Amino acid sequence: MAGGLLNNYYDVVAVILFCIGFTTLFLNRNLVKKIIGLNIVDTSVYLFLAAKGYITGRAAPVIKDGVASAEAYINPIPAGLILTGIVISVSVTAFSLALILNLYKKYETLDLDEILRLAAAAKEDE
Amino acid sequence: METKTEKSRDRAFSIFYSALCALFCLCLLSVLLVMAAKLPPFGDPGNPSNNEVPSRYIEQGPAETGAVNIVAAMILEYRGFDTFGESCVLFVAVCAVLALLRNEERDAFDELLHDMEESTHDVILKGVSRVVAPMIAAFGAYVIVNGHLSPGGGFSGGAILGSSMMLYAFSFGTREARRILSYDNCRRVMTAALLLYALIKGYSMFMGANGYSTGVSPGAPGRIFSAGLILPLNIAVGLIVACTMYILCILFSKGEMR
Amino acid sequence: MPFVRNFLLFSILLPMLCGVVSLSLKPGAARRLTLVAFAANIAMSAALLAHIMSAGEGFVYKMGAFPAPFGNEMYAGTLETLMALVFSAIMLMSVIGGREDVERDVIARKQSFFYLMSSFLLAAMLSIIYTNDLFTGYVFIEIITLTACSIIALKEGGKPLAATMSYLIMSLVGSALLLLAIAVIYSITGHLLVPDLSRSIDALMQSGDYYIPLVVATGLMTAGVGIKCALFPFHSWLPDAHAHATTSASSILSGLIIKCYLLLLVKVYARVFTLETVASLGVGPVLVVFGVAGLVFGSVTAIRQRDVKQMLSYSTVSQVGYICIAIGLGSRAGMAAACFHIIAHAAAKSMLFTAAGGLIRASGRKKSYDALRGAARRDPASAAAFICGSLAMVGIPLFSGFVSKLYTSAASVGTRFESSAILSVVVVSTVLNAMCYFPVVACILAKARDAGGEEPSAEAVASKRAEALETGAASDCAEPRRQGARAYAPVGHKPSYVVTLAAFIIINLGLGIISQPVLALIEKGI
Repeated sequence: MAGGLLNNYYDVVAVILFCIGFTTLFLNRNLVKKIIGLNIVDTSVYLFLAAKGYITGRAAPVIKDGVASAEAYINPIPAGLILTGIVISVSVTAFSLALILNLYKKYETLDLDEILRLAAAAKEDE
Repeated sequence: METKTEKSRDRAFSIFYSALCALFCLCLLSVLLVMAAKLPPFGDPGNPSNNEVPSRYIEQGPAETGAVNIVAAMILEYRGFDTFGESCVLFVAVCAVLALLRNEERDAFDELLHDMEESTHDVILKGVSRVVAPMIAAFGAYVIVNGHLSPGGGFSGGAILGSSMMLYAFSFGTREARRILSYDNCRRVMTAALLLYALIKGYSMFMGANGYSTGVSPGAPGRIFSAGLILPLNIAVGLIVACTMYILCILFSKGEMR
Repeated sequence: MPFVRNFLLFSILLPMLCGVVSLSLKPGAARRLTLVAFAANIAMSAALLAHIMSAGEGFVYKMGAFPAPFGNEMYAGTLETLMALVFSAIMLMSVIGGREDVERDVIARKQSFFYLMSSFLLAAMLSIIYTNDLFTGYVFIEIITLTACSIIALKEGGKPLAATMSYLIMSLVGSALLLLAIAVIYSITGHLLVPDLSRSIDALMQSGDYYIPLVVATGLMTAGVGIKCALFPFHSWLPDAHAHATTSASSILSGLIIKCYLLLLVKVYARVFTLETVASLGVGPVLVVFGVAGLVFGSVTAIRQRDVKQMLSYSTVSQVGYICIAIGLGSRAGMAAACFHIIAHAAAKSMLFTAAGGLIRASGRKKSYDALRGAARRDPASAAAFICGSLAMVGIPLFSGFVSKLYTSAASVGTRFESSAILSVVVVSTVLNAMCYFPVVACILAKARDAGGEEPSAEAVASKRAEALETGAASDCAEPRRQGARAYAPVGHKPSYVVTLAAFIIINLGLGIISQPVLALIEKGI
């Protein structure tokens, strides 16, 4: 168990970051901080994936000097998955921030509980 | 009196909620840590993920796709459909942000560029960005067109290109910037690039699925004009990303948050 | 390869292209283009289904020149194609049925965005239905997250925005859990493709390697998808999000998007993990317990609502619980019953939301039961559709809901669960559903209240209730009655709206009466 933890230290850090992100998301009522928490969660998953692709002592998967042997390079698949994931989290973050801007214009607060309370108290027909 | 009890009840609830959250996160952490200890060892070539799929990408990739950068070959050729979905995510995000923030007047976007005219008296900023912005743009273009040869490609190059556009708009903000980098132009470029991407990808998926050849040779690996459809796809992706970043940045520059 | 198989690729690409072009179009043109694309999608899915039925088996479609583990691939079997057909049809009808509300709720400049988002939604849902690759599934789930949130936020006002925010946060938490689960599964098996994954997970279960990561990944995936489809403890976002959206968006969200995630859950359990593995990992009882809790909680809360859209949303929570019970049974029959109920509920709930939109328009845009009083006289077409949908939800014979209840009960026999317990849950859900829907039906059939007049007596309501049961689909609005001082004038409808409602009613009755071929297709496909 301890040996496994020490050996997989990237995974351990990723998992800890994941939980830090989750805690940030749950414990903060401020929407911007919640989005920061979500970004930490996303980043931790990318770290986790990146660690899965690494093979000790091998180079990045860009063919150099015509050496096209699988023994020389690391696994390119996680890198591609991370690239896709990063673009997705950029898009989602942009959308969340735009939504937060609109909510702030409407309710002049960033506190989600307060916003939900104000929205519930508002009259039905706007 | 009532509000006071209500308040204290709220506080008690929020303390309870926080404690519950902390407890939940600790439980999650311990479960995930146990899992992390049992995962395949870090950096071991014998792990399950190092199977025949990455071997084929590396060993056959240059011959099959013509790309030296295996990651580019993988995301644009082998798993091209995922990346098509990813470009669509970007496009959808821009549209969603436009729908949320482009509220007031018809030309809010161009008005914003117009407003920036006042902040352009900074001679140093203008002088420096006159030199630097084209250089950044050139570097972005370099990263995009060399996507199949070196690390980088449409996504990273597009982000660099987009940053030079932002710098240009922020430091100049003149009518000239408005003329070139207006909302309509960005929208046209983005739509055209995504349509181009969809048509190229649709063509190659259709031909591949029906067992025909696309008629585009992979070329000699290592040359700038090689790798078949990867180069045009990278350019399309680069344009989409650059316009996306630029539109998002300009739209967000309006909002103020205390 | 027969050319008809390419319709799979075209039915995904066409809505996407149409969505991209819609950004530059005026709302009217965008709407027409979108509707044409959706209609073409229905035709293509129907052709695919006919092809697969005549060929006798499904096929794998390579997305590019490279075969399966190296490139992307899609799989179209009977289940997938049937779902694609149903989803395209309901999408088209929801967009047509809610057109008047879109024109009112969304400001003119933004209406193109509504059609753009619905096009991308359909493309993403079809990709998730067909895909054979977990990561492709994740990418398109994110498209659904963005578009679904965006069509809620398009409606003007603060409530939709606040509802979108809580939906977005919960959705993103679900996505993060799902992505972590996919990463863990990739690291212990080395595959992302469904058939390969299924083989290597089988081998891992045999050898006992990586047992803990496999269990954790299953849990993370179930929790992630569970959050996205509003399974009981994670349902808090759903009622507001579905109730405050515009009519079309409500019926798409409640009818299709939730179902898409549930279908993904079915596919993951049946194809990736295989039913034996799922049973030995002990997922079934957990799903059943949460399903029962969600069913009871959702129905009881729905009974207490006095706002028709909120009531319909809470009823969705309870139906999600119901489908999860069927999935949790863990047998093939249970999965088939779940898939049938996915279709049945998609048809019934989108019809209910569309009809509720019509009734609300006829009642001065108020959603409370009081305002809806007498709406059947002002808008007989919508009332007929609403009553028909209510009967389907309660599970009256001849309607789709009855068949899915029958099959869930039948599927519970011979599983590890006491079938008497499952049967009693089915009975309780029928009673609770009746208690949800009949107050609304009674309200819309009742006489409109005079200004300062008294409410109809309880007996009148009860007789109305009985009447509703007897006449079923045919609304009894023709009955002559002394008209009180009506608060709102009767409304006229566009012919397209009435045709849509008629098509909805036909689909619901059709699913109830000719359920056998549909079930045969589903059972063959699982």
